[in-house]
Amino acid sequence: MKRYIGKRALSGILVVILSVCFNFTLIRLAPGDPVRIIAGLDNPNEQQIQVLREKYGLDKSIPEQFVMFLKQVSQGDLGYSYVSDRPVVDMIVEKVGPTLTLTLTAVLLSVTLGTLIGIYAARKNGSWFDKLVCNLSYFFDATPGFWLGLMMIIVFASYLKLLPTSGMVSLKNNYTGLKYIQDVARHLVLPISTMVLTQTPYYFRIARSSVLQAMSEDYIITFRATGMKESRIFNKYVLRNAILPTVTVLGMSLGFLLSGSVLIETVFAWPGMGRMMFTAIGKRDYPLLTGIYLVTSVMICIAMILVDILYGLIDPRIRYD
Amino acid sequence: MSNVNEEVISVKDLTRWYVQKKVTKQDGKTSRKQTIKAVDGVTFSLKAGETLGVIGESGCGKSTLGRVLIYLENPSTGEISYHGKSAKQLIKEDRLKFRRTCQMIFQNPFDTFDPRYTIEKIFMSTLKLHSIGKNEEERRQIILDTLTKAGLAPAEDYLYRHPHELSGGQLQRISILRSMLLKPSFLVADEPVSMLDVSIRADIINMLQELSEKENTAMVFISHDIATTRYISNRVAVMYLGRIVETGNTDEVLHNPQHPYTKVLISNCASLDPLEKREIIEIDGEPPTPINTGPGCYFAPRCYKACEKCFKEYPGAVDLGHGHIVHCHFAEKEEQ
Ligand SMILES: Nc1ncnc2c1ncn2[C@@H]1O[C@H](COP(=O)(O)OP(=O)(O)OP(=O)(O)O)[C@@H](O)[C@H]1O
Ligand SMILES: [Mg+2]
Repeated sequence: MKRYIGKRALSGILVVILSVCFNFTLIRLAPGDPVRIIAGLDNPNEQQIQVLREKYGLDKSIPEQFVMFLKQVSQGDLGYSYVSDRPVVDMIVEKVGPTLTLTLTAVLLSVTLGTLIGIYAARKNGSWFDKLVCNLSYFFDATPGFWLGLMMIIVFASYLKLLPTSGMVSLKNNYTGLKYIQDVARHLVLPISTMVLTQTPYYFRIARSSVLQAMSEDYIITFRATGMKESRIFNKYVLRNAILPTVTVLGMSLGFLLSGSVLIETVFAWPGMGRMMFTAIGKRDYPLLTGIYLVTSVMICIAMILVDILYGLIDPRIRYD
Repeated sequence: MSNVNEEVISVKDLTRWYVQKKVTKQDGKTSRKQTIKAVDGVTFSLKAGETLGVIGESGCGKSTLGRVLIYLENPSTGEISYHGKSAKQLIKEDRLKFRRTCQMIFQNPFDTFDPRYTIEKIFMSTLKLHSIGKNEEERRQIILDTLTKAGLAPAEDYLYRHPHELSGGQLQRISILRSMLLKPSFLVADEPVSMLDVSIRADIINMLQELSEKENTAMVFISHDIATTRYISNRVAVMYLGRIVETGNTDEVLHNPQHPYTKVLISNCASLDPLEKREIIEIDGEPPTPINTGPGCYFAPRCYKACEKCFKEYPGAVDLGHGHIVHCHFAEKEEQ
């Protein structure tokens, strides 16, 4: 087991380096020059631009730049943002809280809701409830998240004036303590509802189909033939076998927690990682972008390894040696 | 243990229909519903210690019959009674006891057990459920003894294995042992050797026979292999599209088959008796599915003897004596 984790960690590091290298190159190949953006788009001062280019090391070839970047990273330094001149590490750490508040809550709610409804629907397979939630799930799955978010804002914020339109806190009042938490919670309702509505169908369908699959397995009939009660068969044997796919998908989505949701954060002006990445792309802020890529790919690798280990614990057919 | 002459199970006009939704027929038309008559009027009875072999082509409803017999699926119509009592009633009174009285060995041993549980846990949960053995220690001993007696030794080796870590033959043995652990008075064995190598078939069959003789179990032995069926059964029933077309004592039916379908089955089976003179009969066409069967004999479209009457009217039972019963218009003629 220890050897297995070691092996996976090594290959994980390789995957991270490769994917960061890929993104590192791609963003530099994309049209748009960060130096000209920093200097001001209509500033033709070539000398000034040359100075900036040298300062950021952008006059060197991409492989050289990448080696420099790796050296930096090995010392725990992700460099400085071109735009704000602040350490990239600080900027990312600052956004971790807001992003996690949003994504973690949304994922946990969606998983719980989707899985529970999925299990219940599978149990009542073919009933009106099953048909209703199936159709609802198709509807919300086909609805783009940003559009749903905008509709939410129009209905609940602009029209009914029940909730704030955007942001994480009310800027006018400087709340502290319990009041602050309440304020954030009110701001959370709309973005989280939007995310839950678009993500739940996903978990719902996985849970429903895997429960249906597990219920039709031959060994379930064996339990029945032994005389076991239907409720016990379902709770103990069907559910345990059906939970595997949900664990996989959940693990994968945990990997994306830190990178946040670009569209939702943008629509709701949420001060998170997703929105920061979106602006950084527009400004060609290379160090910040590379930092975000690095953190995200590390998270995804860790999540995958965790899922694999969890698999081994849940399913005895999988052995790691 | 049951009295030797008591009827353990008796079945009357048993049917099991499946309704299929939205189907496309061969002529391209679609229809809303379609009934598959997987089991279509089966009648028989079995005494303690007797074994009835059920033979027939793939898809003729053997497994379905087996599942319905022990009430894993409800019959669409018809009656099943155990020891003279209706099975439905028995389930209502004491489900657990009913489940212990009748057991089934499933066709595919690879899918019979939950892949996540060890052999020990599989046996243990069965024993616990039926309160066999006083405590964990005693149950363990029962399991070890059972495994050892069945030639799965050293038994400790098998306890902690998962189903996928065993061979088909070993799994099949365990499947048989699990069923017999409950000392059922009625057992359905659904092709218990079909997945196995010829070399271990005999072992498994002997084990099954020993166990059922010891407990005086009445058994329905499902197979499409005539040689094995002949070896283990006192009586046989030949099934075609959900119906029994010929039944009687094993030797009588296999040596003196009256139904054209039985003749075809036997003529296609090489291993029966090499010295015997047999007519080799070919049949055309694929085995049909039990949908929209006409008013006549189900076998008529493929039968080499079929006449006009065969297509118009389903042949009634013709008793040839000693319990040999055939459903064929020609059998009637021969007797007259
Ligand atoms: N749950 C079901 N729903 C619909 N049709 C079914 C169902 N189970 C079985 N059938 C149909 O009933 C018929 C009989 O099936 P069954 O499994 O009993 O055949 P069998 O004689 O055991 O075949 P084999 O020798 O291949 O095991 C087949 O035509 C099959 O397609
Ligand atoms: Mg079958």
